[in-house]
Amino acid sequence: MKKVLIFITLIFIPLFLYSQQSRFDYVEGEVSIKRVSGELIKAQIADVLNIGDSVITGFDGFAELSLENTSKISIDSDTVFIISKKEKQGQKKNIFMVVLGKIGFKFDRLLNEPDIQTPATVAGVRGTEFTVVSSLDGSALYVVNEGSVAVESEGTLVVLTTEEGVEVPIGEKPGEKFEVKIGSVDFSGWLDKGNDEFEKDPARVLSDVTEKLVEYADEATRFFHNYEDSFSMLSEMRENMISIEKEKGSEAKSEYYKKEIFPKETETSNYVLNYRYFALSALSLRRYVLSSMYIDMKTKYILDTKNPIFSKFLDEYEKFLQVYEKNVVPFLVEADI
Amino acid sequence: MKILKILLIVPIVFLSSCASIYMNKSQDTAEEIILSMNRGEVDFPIEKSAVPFVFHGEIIITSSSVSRIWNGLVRAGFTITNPVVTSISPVVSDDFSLFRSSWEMESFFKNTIPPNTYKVTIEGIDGEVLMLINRDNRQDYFLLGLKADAK
Repeated sequence: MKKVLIFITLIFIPLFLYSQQSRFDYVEGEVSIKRVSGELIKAQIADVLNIGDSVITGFDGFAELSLENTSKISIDSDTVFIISKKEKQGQKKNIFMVVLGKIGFKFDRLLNEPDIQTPATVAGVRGTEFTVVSSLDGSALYVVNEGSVAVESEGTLVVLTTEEGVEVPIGEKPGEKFEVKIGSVDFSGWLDKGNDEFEKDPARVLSDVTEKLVEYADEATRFFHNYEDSFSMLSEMRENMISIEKEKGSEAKSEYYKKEIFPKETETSNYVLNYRYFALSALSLRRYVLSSMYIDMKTKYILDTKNPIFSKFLDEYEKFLQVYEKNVVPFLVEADI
Repeated sequence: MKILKILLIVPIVFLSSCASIYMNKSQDTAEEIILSMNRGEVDFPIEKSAVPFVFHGEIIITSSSVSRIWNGLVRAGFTITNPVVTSISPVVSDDFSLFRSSWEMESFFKNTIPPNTYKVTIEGIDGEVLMLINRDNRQDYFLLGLKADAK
């Protein structure tokens, strides 16, 4: 019996892990993968994505990923997509981050449905086909083809069902739901609108993004402190366990480990997962959103550096980087860069 | 004794002449890029730019973003009129601070900027640039970083 169980475990665990992976089915144009190890490579068909990896497409890039062999993710041009993970209500949850650009999701009976995140929103999904767009000004657009998506921002939840959409400006509650005719939504036009908003008042838009950075940094700090406290308690408990073994024997030790230490170990590792998750979310704002803004502004005003629009932007740029360097960098490692 | 001296001198002369060739070619690449930009042509600068790429304090991951930099500079009318190479030297560990004094730029230089990379500064009447030029394993020369300012 034991042998059968071991055999089943050996067969099914790799199959389960395999089916949980995201794999490139199609790649066109410039599509890069930034591995969690820091390596930057050109994506190829059959490449597999792991937690912490990012996919970045260029202006001519397009990629399709399959997930659990039944679900599909379509990544458009000029898009940044990151697979992350965090602990939520005691469960480890995959997070699919749409940092910039447009991604279509078609989920079909996933074992663990991920949350979708943009700089402005977090969304929960259930058996759904939908599109998420995240623009340079940080705002997000959700359009549902089929199923339902619960979009949350600033403490307000909006549930979208088939042929409904919603816009969410960064730092604001979701707007009114609207009806959509599938196939008639002008996603490129919506992305251009985001760029126009940025051009109108770059400093204000960047200030909104900085607020989001502060939120991420605060959460990273909070979870890091929780981790430190939890780790210190865990160390004490481990010392306690040695005393228990000496005084009451190995059975009492095992019991203490199972009841007290193991849950504490899980809690401690979840804190690490979460502070890293928030730090990496902050890094994605810095690396992709701020960087795109800087390129546009620096090149546009290179002959007019005294222009007040550019000066105000540079002030905000430095503010953003001060927050990032002081409150986010302590949680990063060189491989993240 | 004479043979020993020759055996010592020949490799030194050979290595220094190699370094000099690499420097000259880095300088040529930098100048060609600037001359193309001055003519309003972006194809050559884009072709010669590799990723990851440093633009002032930013680390750029995609070729598309690098294309946006060159297109943006040309669209703005940025030129280096009468360009003169004012310095060329191998990149050293402290050079990250020429782009931004930050932990991430220092980490990037330490882990990503390869050996055989030279920093080339070019000045003109109306602007100046600092460029990082690398010679890769196939003896091709690529731009890995740019800092551009008008005067």
